[in-house]
Amino acid sequence: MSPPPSDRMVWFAVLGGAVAWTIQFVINLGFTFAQCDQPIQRWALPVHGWEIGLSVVAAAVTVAAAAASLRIFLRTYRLDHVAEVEREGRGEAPPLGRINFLAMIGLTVNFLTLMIVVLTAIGAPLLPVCQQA
Amino acid sequence: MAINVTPQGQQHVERLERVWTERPGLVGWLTTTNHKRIGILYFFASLAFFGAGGVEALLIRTQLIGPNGHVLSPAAYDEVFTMHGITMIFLFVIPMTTGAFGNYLLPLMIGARDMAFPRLNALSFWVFLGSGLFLYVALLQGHAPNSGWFDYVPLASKEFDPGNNIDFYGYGLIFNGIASTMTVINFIVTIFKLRAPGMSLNRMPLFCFAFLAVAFALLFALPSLSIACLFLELDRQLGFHFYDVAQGGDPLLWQNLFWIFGHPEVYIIILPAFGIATSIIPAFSHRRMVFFPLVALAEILVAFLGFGVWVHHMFTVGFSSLTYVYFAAASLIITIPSAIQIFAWIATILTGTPVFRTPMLFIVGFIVYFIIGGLSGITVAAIPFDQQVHDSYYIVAHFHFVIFGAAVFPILGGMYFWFPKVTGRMYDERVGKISFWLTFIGTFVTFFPMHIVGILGMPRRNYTYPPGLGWSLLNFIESIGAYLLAVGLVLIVANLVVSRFRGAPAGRNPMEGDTLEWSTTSPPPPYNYAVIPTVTSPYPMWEPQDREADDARLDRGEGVLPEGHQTPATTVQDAQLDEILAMPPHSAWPPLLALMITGVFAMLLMHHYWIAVGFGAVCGMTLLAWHRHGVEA
Amino acid sequence: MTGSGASERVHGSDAPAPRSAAAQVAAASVAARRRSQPNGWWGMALFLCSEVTLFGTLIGTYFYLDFDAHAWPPAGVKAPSVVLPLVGTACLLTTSLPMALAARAARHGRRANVIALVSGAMIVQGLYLALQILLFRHDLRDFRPQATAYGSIYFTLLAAHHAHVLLGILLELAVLWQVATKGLTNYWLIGVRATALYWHVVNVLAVFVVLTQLSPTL
Repeated sequence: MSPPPSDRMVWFAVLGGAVAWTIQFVINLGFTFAQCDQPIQRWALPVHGWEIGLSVVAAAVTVAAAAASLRIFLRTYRLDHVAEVEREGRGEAPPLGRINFLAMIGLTVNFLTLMIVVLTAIGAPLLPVCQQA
Repeated sequence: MAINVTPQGQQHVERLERVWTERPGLVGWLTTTNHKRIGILYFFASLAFFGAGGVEALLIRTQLIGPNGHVLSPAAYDEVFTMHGITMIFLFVIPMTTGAFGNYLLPLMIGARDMAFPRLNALSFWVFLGSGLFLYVALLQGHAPNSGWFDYVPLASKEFDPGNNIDFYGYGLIFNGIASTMTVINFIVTIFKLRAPGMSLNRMPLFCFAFLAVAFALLFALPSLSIACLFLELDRQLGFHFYDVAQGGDPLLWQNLFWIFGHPEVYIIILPAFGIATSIIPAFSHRRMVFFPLVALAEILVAFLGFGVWVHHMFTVGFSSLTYVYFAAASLIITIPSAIQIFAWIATILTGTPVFRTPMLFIVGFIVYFIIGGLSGITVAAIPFDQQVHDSYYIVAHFHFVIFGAAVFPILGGMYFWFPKVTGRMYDERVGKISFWLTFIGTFVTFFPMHIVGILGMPRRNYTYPPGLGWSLLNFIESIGAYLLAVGLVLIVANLVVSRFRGAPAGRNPMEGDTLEWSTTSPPPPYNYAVIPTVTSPYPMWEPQDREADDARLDRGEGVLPEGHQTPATTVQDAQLDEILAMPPHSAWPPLLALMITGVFAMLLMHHYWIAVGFGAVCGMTLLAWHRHGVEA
Repeated sequence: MTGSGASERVHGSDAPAPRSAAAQVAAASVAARRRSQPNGWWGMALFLCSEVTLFGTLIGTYFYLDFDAHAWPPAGVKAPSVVLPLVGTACLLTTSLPMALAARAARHGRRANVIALVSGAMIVQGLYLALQILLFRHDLRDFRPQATAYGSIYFTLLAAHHAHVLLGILLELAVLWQVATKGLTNYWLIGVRATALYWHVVNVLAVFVVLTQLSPTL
């Protein structure tokens, strides 16, 4: 039996996408503000370029996190009797049971995050840069 | 927890009994730090506020029973409907679910002996009580808040509402928010650190997931409301300009800040109801919850996604279509985790062997109302439709279906469900069923016609209406429904009060429940568990080998922890034993500090700012004394 | 419970701390054996989540009103000077180091070090607060919060930050008083760690506050 995934791997699998999206969101917000805020409009920033670039990076990280979640989930689910225990509705002993559970959460969170990142990435370049919304 | 106690085991139990005796009498209740007593204090206080809010509702319905009503003057009507909203949300639902149910049940469900911070727990009750009395002093003075529970500026500004009505609101909600913040910090640390060894995250009952989600949501939502109220009071008292356009402010700032709190708030209201439902359904269906991990995940997602939809309360303010479309889409997406839960619950009931005793009836009622309320919610997520029905009774219908039908029904069902555990007596089942039907029918008759009368154009928050618009008959029906609903609710309370004294003795587990609280005596002893329970699944009562292991360990004296008020602390993810904690036995500091905090807010309200600072300094000194000796006093 | 040797050991030596020098040794050994953060640390961390959200709301309000405005700062109000606030914040940031060291010293039961480090941090923080109060009053003479929305949010944001600095100093005073008079018990060891955490977060927030304050000139 191969060793269980490391703690760091599990953290990345669960939160990688969410953190990537947060960073993308905050930086995009900052850029849009810096570019479009009338009093501040001193910086000529390639807002669209940055938005697309950041979205690509965030999406890539999210996909990686989702892949990690899937891998961890399948690896732990196939081990011994984890699948049977989980299907019965009982909880498998930690750490495998807990890791399996967190991997499932990671899958959902990363899928959701990916959707958000991709939709933002599509929406942003299609709209004029400082359209008041 | 031990069901068959050997003489050896009994010796250990007696040691615990001696260490954990509660102080008797009124002083005992005032200085208690025991989570069960605090839960009971919260229960009665929020029930009293429920009564007050209910009287306000009946006044509203009596005023509106016919056109051109004269029961309440316009000014009085404004105060009554505002206080109704504030009372029901801040002084009933939140304290009842988090303060009463959460406090009483969470430590029991995780196999702990108390909350992580027992004195903080007591403090949050006394502060909540103080904030509730603070708000009701306003009503008694005839200066109750009067511009709706969401208190929009500029109506709530000094210019248009010069008395101190709104100041009671602004200060009162900050005051109330302090209590809630302390409660949720306690919940999170308790759920993270005090679970019995072996109860890893994937073995935690769904009730705990729901409350974990509620706690995080409240923690991140309340600051927005507090800042909004701070800005409001700075504008009103010191002439600042956050909300007035002329000097660069923005009334929409209030709306945004309020609803950034307000929308998560409604998920905060309903999530504990989900938790209660997910406790009652497996018990009465004799089946573990279908899709357990997905239900746990859905509970967390609802709380999280709830932060991204607030502008759907503002579809008529004039933002651009793009903004509105985003928020409408997000509002539709949020139905997905709710739907997952509904399907899981129904599947569990259908694939189990359900027994429809009173608590289960309330849960079925909850599912019915949640579906109807959810459907009307989907309709108002559609922007054009919402722009027609905004501020009409259609909206009132929607939120009463989800708040009353879907959040309060599980509370009522939960009251019946856990009544035997808390009191040691059984309620009357026949009267229980009658009380359910009266409540269910009363709710429907009161709130369903509001959909229709709203589409016919009747606006919210108007103290009366003229005849001849087709609204009169529907309003009459709604008011009759309200009286019927009141009867049903009074019958529930009467049933429980009478059963408290005359009910048949309940055993440990009359509800065939699956979580740990059902293993204790009814009511549980002050120390909850004589031996810290063995846990290998989220349904501990359905693992007989674990309960037998508990008996054996009690006999050996292993895991009893009788040296003072002790409970184990475990690691966050896997619940491995980390250290043994000493809990404070009882303390006078919490009620004293709450009194001082009340003093701060009272002085602020009366414009005695330096005296308020003085009270603040006394609060600081009280805190010093509180922490001086660690957990010993 | 697994019934491993670890549980017996932890149970045996973890009686509530008596008021003696032995308490410090006991506290340090408890701290050394912990595998996860103590409850008091978690409580402070969660409280700080709430405070960070408060500041997020204040800063968000600042930029919301900025975005709405045609001129920011409005006509007649000069933009804040950059140098002193930045220098002050840099000094404040340095106090994270003694606080972190104090937390570490507390975990090892070194009482004298805790007192020295916390006192040192407190002096710098006190000077920072004094400087900020002087700048605040200077700003008040130039423009008033009652005149414009800019003034309202500017002074509210800064006042909130200074209030948190003051609260941090009061926490340190409590820690110093307790540790000096009653020693470094397990409870107050956690108190030192919680106070250090508080200061780390306040220091990071100070960076965001000062950048917000100075955003018109950046």
